[in-house]
Amino acid sequence: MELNELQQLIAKLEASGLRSLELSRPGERVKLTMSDNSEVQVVNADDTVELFAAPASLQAAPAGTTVLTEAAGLFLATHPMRSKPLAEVGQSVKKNDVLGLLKIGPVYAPVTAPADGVVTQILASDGALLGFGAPVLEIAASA
Amino acid sequence: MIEILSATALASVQDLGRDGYLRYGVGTSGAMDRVALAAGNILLGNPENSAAIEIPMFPFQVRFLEDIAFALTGADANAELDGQPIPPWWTIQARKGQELRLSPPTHGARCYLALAGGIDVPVMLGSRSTQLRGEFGGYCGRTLKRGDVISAIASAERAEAYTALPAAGFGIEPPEFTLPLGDLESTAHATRTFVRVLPAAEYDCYEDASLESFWSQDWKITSQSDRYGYRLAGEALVTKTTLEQRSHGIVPGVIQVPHSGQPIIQLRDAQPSGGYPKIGTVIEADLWRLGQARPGTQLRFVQTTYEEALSALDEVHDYLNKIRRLTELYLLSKR
Repeated sequence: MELNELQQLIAKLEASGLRSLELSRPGERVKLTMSDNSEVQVVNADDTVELFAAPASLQAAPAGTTVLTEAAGLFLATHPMRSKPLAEVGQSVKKNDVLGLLKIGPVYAPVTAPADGVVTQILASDGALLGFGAPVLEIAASA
Repeated sequence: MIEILSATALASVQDLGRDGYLRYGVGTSGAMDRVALAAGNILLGNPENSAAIEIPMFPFQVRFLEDIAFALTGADANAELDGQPIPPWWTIQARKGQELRLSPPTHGARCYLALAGGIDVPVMLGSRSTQLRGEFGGYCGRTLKRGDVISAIASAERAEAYTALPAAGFGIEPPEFTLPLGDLESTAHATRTFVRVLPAAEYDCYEDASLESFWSQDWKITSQSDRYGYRLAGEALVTKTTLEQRSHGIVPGVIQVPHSGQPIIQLRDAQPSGGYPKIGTVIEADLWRLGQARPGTQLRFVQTTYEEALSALDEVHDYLNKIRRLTELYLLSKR
């Protein structure tokens, strides 16, 4: 990656208010993390853990599993073509069901159920700008 | 490969259309909503002009005979893959044996089912579109029926690209939200569709009052509206003098006015020539909006200029380019 490209990414990261940014493309990966004194640290991502991958503990939903975002974006509780929200409290969901959308430019990334369960709480408000790892809703394992 | 399980008729294989043969009397065919067709292909990493299935009648059901990624665009048909709800304007990987069911949409008229690689039917006169009038092209030159088995073009690249597809799939913003037109209240409920229109050759032959009402009234899209054309109903349009004309060439979007004064918008399967006077032309950039307008709803014509029509077309291309770029980036970020 060229230095000026890296500088651009750093500027975008600083401007966005995000804590971390990871970019992968064929042959290279880079991860930028804001340190506490608000300087940018560049880390070779191969040496770091996957910060935003769903924890293994989410495979079977224990009581009150919080579903987190896996990207930053605008949270859409309802698909704009529809009037009914994708997830409502009390709704039974299956693993990989789409429970909300994160709008990233024109892309709608899914917020998905990590396991079968019942929606117990909606934590994110419709139209909110969410960062990485932000809580969206809570599901409990179905009895 | 997929197998058609529905007996329902009228679904057809379409790409962006068969350009360049109007002079030989061969109509363009092609998707009624070409933006939805292109977007479905973009979601799958296909060339925009790949063939997909245009579905105007519901319910519609198919079975996947292999593991393959597919995309749904156009009208929201409340799709379910083996009972799992699939959002509209979405792509997801199907597994062999799974069944996709599309229900009657609340809004919109046509849904597009695209397969990774694009539908594998022979290219005839430069297109994979079904020429229903001429009974060639597409799948055996006809609409699909129960038991038909449709293949996708095999591609190692698409298999590679879609290993990154999230298990729940992902979607894109439908164009009506990126490219809104007209008053938002009636377009949101799909009760009224706005399309931009350029005055055509015989525009000046109409009474002033008729021209006034052409632009200001709500035209009803009658039940005699299909891929060939939309017949409209409203206050009749009257010419200043009786017009007698020979047949001349027409293209999709041309608004002809027969003696009844009730306009007909010629569309993808229209014959390539006709003798009725032409009062206007729906601009190419807005034909997709017509493709999703249902019989029984209202249509409003908005006067535009040639320059505005060109920049509207640029906006459609910008939308498609943007979703291609962001789709590629999103998939890269998932690797």
